[in-house]
Amino acid sequence: MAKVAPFPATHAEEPEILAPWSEEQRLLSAVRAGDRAAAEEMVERTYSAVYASLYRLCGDGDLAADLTQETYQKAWAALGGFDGRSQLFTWLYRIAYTTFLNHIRRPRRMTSLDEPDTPEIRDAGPAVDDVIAEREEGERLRAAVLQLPEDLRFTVTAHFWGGLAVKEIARIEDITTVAIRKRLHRAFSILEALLDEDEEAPK
Amino acid sequence: MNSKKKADLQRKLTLAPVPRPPADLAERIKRDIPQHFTMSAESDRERIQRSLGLNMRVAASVLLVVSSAYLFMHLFERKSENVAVELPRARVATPAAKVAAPPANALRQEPSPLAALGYTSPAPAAPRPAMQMADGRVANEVEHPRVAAAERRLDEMRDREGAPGGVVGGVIGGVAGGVIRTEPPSAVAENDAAPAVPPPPAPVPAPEPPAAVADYATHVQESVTVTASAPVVEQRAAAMSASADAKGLRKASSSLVPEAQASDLELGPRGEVLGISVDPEAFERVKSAIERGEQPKGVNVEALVNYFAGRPQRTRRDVELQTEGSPAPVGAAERRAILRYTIDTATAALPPGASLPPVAADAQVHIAFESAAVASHRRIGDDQQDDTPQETLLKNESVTALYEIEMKPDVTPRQRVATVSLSYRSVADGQQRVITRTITGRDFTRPWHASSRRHRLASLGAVWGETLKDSGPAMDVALRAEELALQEPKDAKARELADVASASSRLRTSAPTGSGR
Repeated sequence: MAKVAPFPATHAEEPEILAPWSEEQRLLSAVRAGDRAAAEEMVERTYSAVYASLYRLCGDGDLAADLTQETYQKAWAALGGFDGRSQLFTWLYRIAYTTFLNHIRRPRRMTSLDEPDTPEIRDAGPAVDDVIAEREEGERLRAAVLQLPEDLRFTVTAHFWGGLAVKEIARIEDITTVAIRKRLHRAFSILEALLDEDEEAPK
Repeated sequence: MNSKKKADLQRKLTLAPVPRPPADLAERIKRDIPQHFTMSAESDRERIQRSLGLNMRVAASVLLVVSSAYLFMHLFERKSENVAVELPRARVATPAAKVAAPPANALRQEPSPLAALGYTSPAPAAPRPAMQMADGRVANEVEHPRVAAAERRLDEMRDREGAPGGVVGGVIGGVAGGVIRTEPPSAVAENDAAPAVPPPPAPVPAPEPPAAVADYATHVQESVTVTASAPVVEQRAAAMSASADAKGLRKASSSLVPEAQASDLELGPRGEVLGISVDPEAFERVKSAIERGEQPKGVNVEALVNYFAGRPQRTRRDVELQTEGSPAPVGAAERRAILRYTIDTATAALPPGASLPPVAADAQVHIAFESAAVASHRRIGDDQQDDTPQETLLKNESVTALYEIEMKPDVTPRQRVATVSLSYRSVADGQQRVITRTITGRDFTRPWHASSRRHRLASLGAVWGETLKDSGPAMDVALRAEELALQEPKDAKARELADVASASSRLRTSAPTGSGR
């Protein structure tokens, strides 16, 4: 499998390592001041993570790319409203998540959640059966996540696919971290049940 | 859900494979970066609205306070005017600057309806001298339409009553508006309608203005001119003692110009001005001793300097500062020089024994020598510090101070040698003033005999005085004084100095020496 662009965090509990806060603020101020170079730097720092999050949500590379581009278009328009209290990627992820939701609710051809794109697979690598099995399991998991209730879905995707820390999610959701952890616990329970049903369903 | 399953689920969620983003995705996103970023119009609008709302509230509060204060003051002022207008006023036709006997018809002592109300003319019925108010009006004549209307009513009343008199003597004094403590005219109007008017009291004959009143008037005039608010004069006041009133006025004016108070003024010339001795008798004492063939004792060199520096016949300003420098007149070692400053106050023609009016308060002199030009300096006659104490300067005064300085080599004509500053507060207008004079090297490049008469007399007088105190070139001083007298044949002081310097030099040469005995 091709090497994935660096994801913000592999361990959900670890705080994501983005640009230091002061550096981020500097960047943001420069972008607001109309510094194009600062805006391009902001893109370079964040677009891989945004793409990865959207890919995990939609399962389609091209769609994820389109949604990523759309996300940044919305971000430039909404930059004035960003107060800088949350991290930059957190803000971008929310836009990306909303963009994804808007996309799947659009009355047009939607990428079927049941037919995700097949990720690029190299010939030299793990056994094809294992890869296919792993890919199918990933698809089932993605489908199960997308079936979660909205609040749980956002929490799970933001935490595991967006790399946002529990504290950060609690801040943007305006609830406590305990509530976030409860959400995650409930989400796991539901996911387990969904995945068990899927396994038991006749193939 | 057991922990193993949970951990497995977490692993699957986080390790879900993600392909690399398309190669051109970053460029596509960058192409979409707009030229100008639109800030949040809503949040800006909200912020502006909030600040605008706050500003409007603040402005409204300020307006409310200001208008309330203005309304209150306006109402208060109108109320005061109403009270003043309702009361009868005096119509004293005397000019402002005069203290004259009352005109025959200025005060009508015939009984008036107002007398029935208990209002009587003031006992010193002579018209008070008109008091000059701050805006130049004469206080005796209040030009208010309501007052004029009240006057007309009174005149009509008198005509109706057949009584010629009734103008009450009194003065509406003070810049703040007089408050004359009499009954309001409403009572007059009521009495006008009354069927019977009580018999008026017997007319009070107009007495001659007493001398005390005249003095008082003088004090009043002067004090009012100087101070910002004049005292209120009660119409019913009986004969006031001049001294008591003068004291009261002094108290009223003490806060403004204490120097104008009569009790603080000195009667004659002072012996010291700004800490510098100007004793006019110092020279006479020395001269007398010399004439008696005695060595003068206790020579006051400062006073001699001032005696010979004298005073100009005329001055152009209230306070003038003169500075001058020159080489020393006699026996000058290399680079020894004399620096002089003189303060002259305005000349006032005063009778003998009259007190000298002040012209400048808190006067102080500060002299600063440039260390680049002056190696050392001393004040001739007194080794006290250079800055003088703060004092009041009176008219017809002059004070001179001399400094002997040792110049540094190679002082250029343009180089600053010393700066003399005189600071004071003008009694005339209360303004703080500073006069500064700078002495440069040019002053010391001229020979001594090219300096002014005043400077030559003062410096020579100083050197002569110092030769009297200790052994010095008395003969050289005498010769120099003789030269000066020849140069100024009409100068009496130059002649006087030459004579006394010559006499004192002879006195020293003729004194028996110890070896001769």
